[in-house]
Amino acid sequence: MYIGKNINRIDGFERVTGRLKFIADYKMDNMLYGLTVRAPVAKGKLKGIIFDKHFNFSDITIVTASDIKGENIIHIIKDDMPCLVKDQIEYLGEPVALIAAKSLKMAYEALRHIKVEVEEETPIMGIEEIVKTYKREPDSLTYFYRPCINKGDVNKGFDEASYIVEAEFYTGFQEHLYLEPQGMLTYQKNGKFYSIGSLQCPYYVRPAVAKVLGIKEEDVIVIQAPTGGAFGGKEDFPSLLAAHTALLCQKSGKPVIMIYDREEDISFTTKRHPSYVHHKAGVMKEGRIIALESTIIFDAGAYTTLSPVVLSRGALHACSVYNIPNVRISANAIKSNVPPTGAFRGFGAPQTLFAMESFIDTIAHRLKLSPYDIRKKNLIKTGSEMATGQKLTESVAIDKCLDRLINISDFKKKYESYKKQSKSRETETLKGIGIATVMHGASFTGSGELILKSKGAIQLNPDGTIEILIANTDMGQGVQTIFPQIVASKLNIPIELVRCPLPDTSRVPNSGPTVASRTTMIVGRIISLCCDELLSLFEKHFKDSVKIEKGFLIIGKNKKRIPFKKAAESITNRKPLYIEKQYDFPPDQVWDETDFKGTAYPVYSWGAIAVEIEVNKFTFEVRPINLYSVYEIGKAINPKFSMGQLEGGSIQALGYGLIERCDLKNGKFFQNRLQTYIIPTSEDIPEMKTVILEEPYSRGPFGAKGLGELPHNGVAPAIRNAILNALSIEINEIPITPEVILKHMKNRGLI
Amino acid sequence: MIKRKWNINGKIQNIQFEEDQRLLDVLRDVLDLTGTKEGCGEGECGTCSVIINGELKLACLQLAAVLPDGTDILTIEGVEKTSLGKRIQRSFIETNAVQCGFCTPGMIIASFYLLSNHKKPDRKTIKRALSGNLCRCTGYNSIFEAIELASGRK
Amino acid sequence: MKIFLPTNIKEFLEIKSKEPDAIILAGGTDLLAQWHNNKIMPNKIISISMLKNLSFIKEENNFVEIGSLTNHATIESNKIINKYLPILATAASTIGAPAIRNMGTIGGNIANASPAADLAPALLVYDAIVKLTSMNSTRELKLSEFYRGYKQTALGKDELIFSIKIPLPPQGVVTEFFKIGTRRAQSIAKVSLAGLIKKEKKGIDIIRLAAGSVAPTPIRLYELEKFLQGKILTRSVISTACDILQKYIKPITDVRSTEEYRRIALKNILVKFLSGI
Repeated sequence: MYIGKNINRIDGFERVTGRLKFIADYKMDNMLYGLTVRAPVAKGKLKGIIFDKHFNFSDITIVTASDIKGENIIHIIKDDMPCLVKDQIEYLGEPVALIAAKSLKMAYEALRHIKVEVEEETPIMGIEEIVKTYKREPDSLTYFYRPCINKGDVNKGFDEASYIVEAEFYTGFQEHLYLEPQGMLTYQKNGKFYSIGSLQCPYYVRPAVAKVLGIKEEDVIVIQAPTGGAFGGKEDFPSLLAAHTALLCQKSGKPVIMIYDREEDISFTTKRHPSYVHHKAGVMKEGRIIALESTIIFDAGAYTTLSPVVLSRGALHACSVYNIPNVRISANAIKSNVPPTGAFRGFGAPQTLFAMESFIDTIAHRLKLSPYDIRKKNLIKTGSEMATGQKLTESVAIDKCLDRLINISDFKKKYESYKKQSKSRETETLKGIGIATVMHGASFTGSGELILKSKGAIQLNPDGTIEILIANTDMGQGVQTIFPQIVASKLNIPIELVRCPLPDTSRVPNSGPTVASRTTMIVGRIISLCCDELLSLFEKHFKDSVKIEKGFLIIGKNKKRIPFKKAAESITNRKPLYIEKQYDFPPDQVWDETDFKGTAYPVYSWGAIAVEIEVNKFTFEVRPINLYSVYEIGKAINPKFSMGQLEGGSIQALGYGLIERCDLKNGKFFQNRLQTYIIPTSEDIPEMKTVILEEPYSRGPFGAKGLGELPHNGVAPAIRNAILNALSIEINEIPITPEVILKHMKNRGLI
Repeated sequence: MIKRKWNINGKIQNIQFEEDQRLLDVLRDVLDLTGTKEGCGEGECGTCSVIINGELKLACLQLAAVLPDGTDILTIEGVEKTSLGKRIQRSFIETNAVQCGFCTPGMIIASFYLLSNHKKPDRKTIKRALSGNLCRCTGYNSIFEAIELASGRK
Repeated sequence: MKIFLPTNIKEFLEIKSKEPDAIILAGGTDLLAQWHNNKIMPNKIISISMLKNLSFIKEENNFVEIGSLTNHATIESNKIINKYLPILATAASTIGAPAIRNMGTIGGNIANASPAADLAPALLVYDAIVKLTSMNSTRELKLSEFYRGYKQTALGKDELIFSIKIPLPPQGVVTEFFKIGTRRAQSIAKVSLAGLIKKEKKGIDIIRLAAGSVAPTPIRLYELEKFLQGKILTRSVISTACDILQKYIKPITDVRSTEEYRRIALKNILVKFLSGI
């Protein structure tokens, strides 16, 4: 009844009036402002922290590694990242000490009087340097994770192939650039520590804080403040920030807030992993790919953090949407001396999909096939076997997406005419159109959801209202609206009766992190199960069959009608009724983490993208003109919210492919301010036409699949392919800035 | 300490602040008008957009002390008291032009400024008017639609 | 920190003579960003935004005079500017975004002396003159001489930029302004070029060229102008012009672009301008 409807954002009014309080808007009595003392080199030994003798530090709270009462570790996957440097510095800007003062001005003043002494060592930095070393002396590198995927016999495939095609691809760092910088506030009340902040995963923050403070997890309460954008950037990092504010709070006994300055945020928080992919394919004359051998390298930064899982997803999307009989993929997450790279919308898939979706056009280009035809010959279908051996059983729609895309974009005609356009100086611009076909595996990889055992709950209150109790955060995507839509529709009651508050770990069970396009699909299912349970409790209570119609309980054969509110009053007996359920992991989803065999994801969402561009022949600037997308997402619970995710994600991906450059210079991110790290403005975006297709997934709530990350996967390679169409130049790196185009034209002697 | 008498959101107010405070600090810390946000502090993101004496400005680049008595300041908190402001806010909700909401106050101020000067702006004018307000969630399309809806174009 | 808020020029000059090291604050678009990033404010600031009569545009005695506090939005839309100095209006329209254009001033844009200053190339080809005033005197100096090096100007410690005076351009000239930014709005120039040309049958009658972001300051390309003067724009003349250009500029690789790109892109837009594509 509310499914497929464009319900308005439930908290929209607070957001448009400026009433919504973000973490930087919080104030508490006696609150201190915290800052971080950072390492001045990318690698070295910490020799000392020097506090200026002439400066009065008496009003400043200072925390160093020796103040940590618990363990000096930020718990993420492997416990290798310290909360504060003790001896060894692994990246420039690594936190060495923390300070807090009554005002931010005082804190900055104090910071200017602290010096960090080090003995510098030689760092390794940058994907090019990593790859160079990997090719020359691979044993000198530190590997955080090295999974392999094997299917069939690649060598046999190469032998049988008509052609062998090879290429290398590079992608750069990408900054999330959520508009709200990282921020956290920690205070103590009744012996417990409360951390409130801008975050995605309250149940990641809680154990991290407890471990550092040396207290029980139950004594840490984590509350999500409204989160001003995250995109993965507030998945793991808030654990570190909360540990820092908590340490300052523990030492000072006062509330401590830390709001990162934008430059600090860009310089020292996570980024998308830079990547290198080498592809070698065996291709038959007509374009069928029969063998693919790939080497993948992700620059993981200084510590393990989330890199193993990011790399896994990258490797599992490396074949894109193609059915290739013989595959060998070896993937590597390699340590370097930059801030740990982390989660970012797409989680490894945008990198490997850039490589494969570019590579397939390279093959087409070299074999003189059309990008459409080569895709058609290789696409996955229901029943196809993925590289891991997973058989696709339902909701496979890439073929449909592609055909619809070709239709709405007029791809074939444009592609041929742009290919033939004259490259001479008569006109200022050259046109191009490129496509990409992609997928995204919804929810955690492999056995992730089995291990996670997510729990969600609903609470029926005596007044007939229902609260949805989940740890999943609304950071703009609309959890607080979509979940009431699901519950109100499952129970057939007015949506006004249902609320989904921001999570507070003292109230909500651990329904897992808000990542991996899992919230609607996985947690939505758990909440649906809670609704089923409520119905059966009603049946027990009224000792008869019960269904709900338009807010009324219809009981038994006599169809006795009771208003839902009345029924709630009766069943709750003045005490809230709490119903909790755990995710029922599909028994047939079997995954072997050692060999990377089995069902990597329960289901995939699909997308086909076309980008039409103009390249300026004088300035090499690329202007996107049209962006056509067709996405298949199972079921759009709220179509305008789905559209919001798809369009917003596409524009992030557009920036990734074209303008978002983040280089390293002497260990620092060169583009570390908003003036220099460039994201698209309202004038940089193309006309967008986005189509949503629905092939319901049997286990998703009302058929819904995950969709949040999907739009980041295909835009960058489509742009690259459009440039290939316009200029006949294979550019195998992003972002494709005018400088990059110039470099490639020069290399090919065109300038 | 600087003392000033400003007209803030239609109310004359006497205020005191430090020489080195930006208008953004005065709004957020002295007046507790926290709807105006700080996204970068260097005039690039537009989250601190306000209207000063009828002109769109950035509160992070405005030293408060240089604004004399009688300065007229409109912030997001004042916008909802106007009928145009209400219309824009409703349109933003309707077209889902709001996701995380952090850019939204600045975006609405910029839209308010645009529609105060152009009754029915075309797409090109809208794009240009919002070019100083970054949004990382929506991809902007829904924001253009919100303005068109508020202006009666849609 | 101490802030001075003079309300007239005389008062300003008195303060400035006593506080020669105080920083002059106009629209604040460059300085406040810089102070924010340094996390420290200067000790003394003189704000000139309360000075009366420094925001004006007038046409007088074959000159357009623009008061130094005139903001970019005003320059972008002003009728006199659009009539006589169209590429100055164009250049102003490419600065930042609407709010920045409502705040930033022409005086600040010049005083800040960024090599990427958007107004500079247009002002340079219009032969703009900077009018400076101090307690005892007023002096005028060509904008090209006002720039003294990277972020350095000829502004004396006791002086104020009063206005920018621009002689009305000759009849029948064609002008163009090109800016290559990091994106389509809210961007800083990687390369910019302003050109003013009058072609006659017998050859080029008038040519003025100026570029931004390719040297420590915005530069007028005098050598190139000298070469092109009187020439007919054949392929080989344009190609020689490009060679001269390359000797004349000193672009660097920085956070926004590369030396190579700046060289080639500037060359290409010069070709585009000269050949009238």
